[in-house]
Amino acid sequence: MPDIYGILSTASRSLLTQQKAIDVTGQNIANVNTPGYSRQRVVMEPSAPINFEPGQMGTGVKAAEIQRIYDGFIGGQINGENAKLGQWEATESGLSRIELIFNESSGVGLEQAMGAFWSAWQDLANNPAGYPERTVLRSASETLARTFNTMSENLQQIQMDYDNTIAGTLDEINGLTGRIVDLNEKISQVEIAGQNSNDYRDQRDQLLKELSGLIEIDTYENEQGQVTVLTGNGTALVQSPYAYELSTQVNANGLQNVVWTDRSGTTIDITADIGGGELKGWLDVRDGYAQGYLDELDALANAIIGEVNTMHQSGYGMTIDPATGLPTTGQAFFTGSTAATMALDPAVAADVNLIAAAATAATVPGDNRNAVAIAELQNQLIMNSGSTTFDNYYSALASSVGNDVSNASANQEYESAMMTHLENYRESVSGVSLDEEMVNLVKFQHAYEAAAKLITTVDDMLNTVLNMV
Amino acid sequence: MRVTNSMMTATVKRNLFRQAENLARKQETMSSGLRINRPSDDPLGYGKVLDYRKTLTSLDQYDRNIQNAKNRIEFIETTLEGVEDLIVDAKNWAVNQSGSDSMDREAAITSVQNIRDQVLQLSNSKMGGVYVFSGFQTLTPPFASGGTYNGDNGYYSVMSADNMEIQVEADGSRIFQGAEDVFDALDQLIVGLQTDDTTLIHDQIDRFEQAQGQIQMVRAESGAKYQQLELVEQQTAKLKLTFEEMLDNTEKANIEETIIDFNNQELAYEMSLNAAAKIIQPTLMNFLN
Repeated sequence: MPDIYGILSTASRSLLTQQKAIDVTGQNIANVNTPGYSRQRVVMEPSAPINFEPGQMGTGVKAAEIQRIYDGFIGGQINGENAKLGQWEATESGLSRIELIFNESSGVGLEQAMGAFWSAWQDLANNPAGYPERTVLRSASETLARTFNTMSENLQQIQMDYDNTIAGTLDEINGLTGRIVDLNEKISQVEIAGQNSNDYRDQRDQLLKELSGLIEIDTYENEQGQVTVLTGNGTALVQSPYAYELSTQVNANGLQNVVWTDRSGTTIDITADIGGGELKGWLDVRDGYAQGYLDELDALANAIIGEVNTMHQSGYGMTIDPATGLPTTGQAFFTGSTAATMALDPAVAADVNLIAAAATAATVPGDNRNAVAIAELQNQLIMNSGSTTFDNYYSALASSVGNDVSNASANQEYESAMMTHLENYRESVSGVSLDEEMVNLVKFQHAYEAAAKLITTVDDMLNTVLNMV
Repeated sequence: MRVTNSMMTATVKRNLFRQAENLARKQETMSSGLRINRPSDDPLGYGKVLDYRKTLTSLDQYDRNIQNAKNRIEFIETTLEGVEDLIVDAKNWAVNQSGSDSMDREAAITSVQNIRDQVLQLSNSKMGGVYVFSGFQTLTPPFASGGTYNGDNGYYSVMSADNMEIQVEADGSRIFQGAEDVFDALDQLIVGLQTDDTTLIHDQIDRFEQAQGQIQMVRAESGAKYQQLELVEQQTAKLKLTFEEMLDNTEKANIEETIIDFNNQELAYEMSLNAAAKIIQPTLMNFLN
């Protein structure tokens, strides 16, 4: 009302509004270190004027809404880059572990074991009848087989470890989607009533960001403020009011695949469709890199076993076969066919005189031609369809492991820099600056004081009027 | 651009981590002395390191093989020198006793019998537990006391380099019975001395000369092989030096450079800490009354 009481109500509205502004400033200050928090401010508007003489008179200020300062596009971009960052971080950490298996910089490893094996054959060739040379060869062969076994075991162990990590990651994903669908409900209920659900939206954005780090997602918001979350190839994780769970299923290799369950209980294998996030990183390390290295190691072991056995079986040992009265022949040297199963034939381990150094039965024991031939296998181009030696094949494999790690590292650093850039931009728009809030605090406090002064003045005016009569 | 507190603290943290990581890497290089501490430090270089090490192992092995062959030849040389001397002795007795006088027949017989025993003993020499003149039958004595050869025509071979084989003579039948059978000649000489058959005694002189010629030929062949081995040995030594140098260049860190880098990095880290301290402290609150 445009009279003395009107001024009083203008002043009181101002007090309350400035007080709300200080309250929101307090909220911002309290949340300066909260991750994902977007600063809020009170939108002040002049309250509706009324018609009076000499014209329209204003009636003060009102707090129209509490607005969240937020760039809608940056969220999607951050989630996209976060998925890539998660993927490369997981890949790099997995590959760094694998790299330890192939790390021979201290001088001990498969290359050295192979070198000792070929050397032992050469030493036997220098003294084919010698017993000490045979025992040294037995020991070098056992070491070689054991080195292959250990490397294979370690790679398989890593695969199983990441199996567990994948299962754990799926649990986290399910937890996050559950909370996201809850927040969807809360947000739509609040906003239907016409309010801004600033804090819930901040929380939901934070959860979506965490989720994007684990698995690549696309998000869409509908008119009720609910977010639909889709992952690789359009599989829905959150579609209000439902959250869909991911679980594991054992595949042909004895490892876990990722499956998605729909409303009717049918499961669909989505392992191949996952395009990013830590989950993709773990899957790549387990099924791509580790499996690939294991296959190459198996190929090398298999070739060595095959070639050595073929040569050895055509040679003659020093032990006399009681059945024929002649030196033994046809004795296999290694058993097994993969890096994990490679072992020295137990018959040879028990009697080293079975080692076939000679090329014919008549020339035992001084003939070393078979031993020389086996030692010469190290110089033959056997691997890669006849283009590489055993040692070059292995050094190329070790080199490629190093390459993969260095590549993953470079990608991770790049993604990290991108994320930093995007997060800085988000902070720049939505982050709380204590300096700014201090200034605002001073600003609102002065307004509050001025409004209080207005009330004092009106109080004086009322006193004057009352005392007039 | 609007800069908030958390942006500044995030930047400070990130830079400190980066400097600390660089410092840790330099420290690792200094303490291990290696430029390549894991395959990812230099993938191509790591592959080369493995290859160089393999080559050095091979070269060491060839060196060992060559030493074996050289030792063998030296042993044979000494043995055959002794045999040649004995044959010359026997020839001299034959010459001496082929005149018609039969003085010192007894002494001659005893001496030649001794020579025969010694030649038998030398022909059955063992080196490292195996017979060196039996061909491939290295666990069987080559000559029985009667002079029959129980070995075969094998040889002793070593790989002195990639695809390069060196064969050392080991066939007793060629050495002792090739041109003329030494044992038979000695036996005939003894028979001749015992039966006073000067014609028989005289016939053996030529045989001894032939046998001596045979032994000299074998010694010359072995000598040539020995020289060949020494040449290969020298080449191998040079190759080893080259590869060791290449391995060092690829694998080892340059000490001076590493220490300078480390000191620079320490300085950079300290400056980073200093700057951080100055940035994260003051706010407007310090200045408002």
